[in-house]
Amino acid sequence: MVQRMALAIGGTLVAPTVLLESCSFDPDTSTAGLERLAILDAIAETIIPRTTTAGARDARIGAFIDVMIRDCYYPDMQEKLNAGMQEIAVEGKRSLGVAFEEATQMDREAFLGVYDAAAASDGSHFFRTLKELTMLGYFTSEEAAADGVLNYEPVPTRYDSCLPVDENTKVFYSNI
Amino acid sequence: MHYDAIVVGSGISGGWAAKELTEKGLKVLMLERGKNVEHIKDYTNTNKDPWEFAHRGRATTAQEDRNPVLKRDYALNELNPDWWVDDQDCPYTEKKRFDWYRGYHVGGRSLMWGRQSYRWNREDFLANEKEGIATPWPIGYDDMAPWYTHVEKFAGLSGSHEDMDVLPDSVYLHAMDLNCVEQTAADRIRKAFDEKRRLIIGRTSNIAVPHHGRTGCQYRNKCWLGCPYGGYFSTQASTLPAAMATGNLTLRPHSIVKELIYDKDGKKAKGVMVLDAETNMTYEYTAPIVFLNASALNSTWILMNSATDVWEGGLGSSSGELGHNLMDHHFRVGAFGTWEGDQDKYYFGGRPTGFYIPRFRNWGDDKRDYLRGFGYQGAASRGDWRRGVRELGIGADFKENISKPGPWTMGMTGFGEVLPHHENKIELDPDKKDKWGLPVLSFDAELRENEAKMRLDMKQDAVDMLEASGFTNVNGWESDYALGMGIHEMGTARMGTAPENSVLNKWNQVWDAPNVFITDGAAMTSASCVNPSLTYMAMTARAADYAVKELKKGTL
Repeated sequence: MVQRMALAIGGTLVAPTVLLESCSFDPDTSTAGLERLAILDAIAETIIPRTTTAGARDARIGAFIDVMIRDCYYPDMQEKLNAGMQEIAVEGKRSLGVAFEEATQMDREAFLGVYDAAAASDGSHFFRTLKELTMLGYFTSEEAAADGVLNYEPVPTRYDSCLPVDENTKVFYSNI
Repeated sequence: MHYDAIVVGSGISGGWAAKELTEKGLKVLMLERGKNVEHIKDYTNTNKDPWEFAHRGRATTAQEDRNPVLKRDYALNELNPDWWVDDQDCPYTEKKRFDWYRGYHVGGRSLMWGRQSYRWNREDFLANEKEGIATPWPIGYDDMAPWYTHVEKFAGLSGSHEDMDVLPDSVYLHAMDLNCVEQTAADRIRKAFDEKRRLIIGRTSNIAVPHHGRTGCQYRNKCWLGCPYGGYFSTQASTLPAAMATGNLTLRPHSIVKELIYDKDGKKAKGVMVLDAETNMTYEYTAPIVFLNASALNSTWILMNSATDVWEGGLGSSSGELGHNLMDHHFRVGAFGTWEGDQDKYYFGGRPTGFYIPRFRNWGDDKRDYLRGFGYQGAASRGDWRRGVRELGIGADFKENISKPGPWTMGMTGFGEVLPHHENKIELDPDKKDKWGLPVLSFDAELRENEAKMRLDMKQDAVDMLEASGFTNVNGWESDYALGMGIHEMGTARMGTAPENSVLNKWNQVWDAPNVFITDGAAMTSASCVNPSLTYMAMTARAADYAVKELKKGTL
């Protein structure tokens, strides 16, 4: 949990802001079946796996992507994304011998690498959108913030214009 | 109900009118057409974490379907949707495309504004006259300078003292820092262009020190959600509490001013007719002074709907200029490049301003094939996870790599002056009505040749400065811009030297009703290329001072 700080700056107590107890986003998964969530989680986890820090599945990115597809895209794009997911499920099983979501991270990465290469050179490829949504959801998630994946600081209190970087320096962000 | 003064609108200029008039002892009624927004309490999203937004800030298709205008730019989003006017409730007509992003609530766009704050220079007030464009300004820099100082001291600005004629210094509480790459670019640009081009820290109404009861900026860079720390100037953080403290202010939200009540015999306004936006009941309020600060185009809308039994085109139309000379600042053209150095440097904190490059075209001995000029706003930054979307890569190493700061890039966009053209105009649409049955505005305006020529320089000069500073992969860019997108609507009830050439005189009084003052963007006779709000503040304080003096003399 990211701590919000009560701060004293220059002798002046910072305004008593309404420190809302932050609650994690609870995705509305009413429209998504378990199978759909499983394949979405598996795609997202392949892109951003659990390491020493939370992975996409830990952050429930499958449900996030489902909500985004439902609320933020028009039918033509929804169909394209759904068809892409379907293709990954069917072709993945054929290629890997087991259901895509049950394959190992290494096998899933090898399989999706082809899609990733296609999306890297074609911005309209369905996988570009799935990758973008995965990253948007994950890097702004409570789980990623809690694990220090990025340097999330909602109340920085200062601006340092020029700091040295070392190998542990993470991207700073304070908002979306 | 009778008051000493009525202020229509509660945004940047309305807030200033209320503050100045109440502090001079007048009993003031401030009317706001939208709902109330209380400081801190009603900033509902300002302390939320990113994951508390189901769509991480993005607009839904349902929002897009409902708001065909707002969706053209960032105004349609998940973070502060209640502060942008709903396109269905408040439609307008586009004979030609005009992007109108409005804020109908207490505080108006002072809550969401870009906060960049610049004084006009001496030439800005003289250019119309020297070049034979539109009509001359009836005031000059010396008329405005003391009032700039007056408002700057209270509003609180940050910026650096540069002593440049083209961009007069304001009163600053402190300056924010350029980051390492911006500082290097500043040094190199200054040298490469022989001191004629300068990159400085953006001058903004954000302050990071305590000021008039405000705590100050915490570098969250979430200004447009409302700042619980009072980090930037807004009606709520600044002028409204000052006006309230006098005990002389009455604020009435949900109050749409339909028209001014005009006294034909006395040749002045008696007050205003208000439609209650919630009950649809009509009320009359009277006062010897009325300040129209309803936002540029809505102040003009009120005039168009007033005294129509005397003038068919409304109060102020006798000049033939009411609704004409609509302006904005044109932008969304510039350049960006990559910085190979400083890979061992980074920054911390969300600085609420970028850099600014003041106008250098048609300045001094520079002469172009167009009139006026432009400035740039921009910033240098290091890439975040977004860079990974289009890069090849998935998996653990990819996750690790894009969690680290990416390459430095620096980008800038020009903000150019739009010339006043009589043909760029708004008028009432006789057929279309809004949610309250009131007639709506129709827009008929476009960019013209002068702006088109200027845009070529706005792109190329940005490329040249980035290349001269040592950036690589420098690309000029230009994207979709339509008038209004700058959210700097100006003109349509301009100031001038005589009733024949203008709607307002040099004290912002309507020539045909001298107890009516307009001190928002409507009053602008030309646009300069710098952000306009600081000038509205100064103009409002100046007019309020004059109004009270005249009221006491008994001339109003």
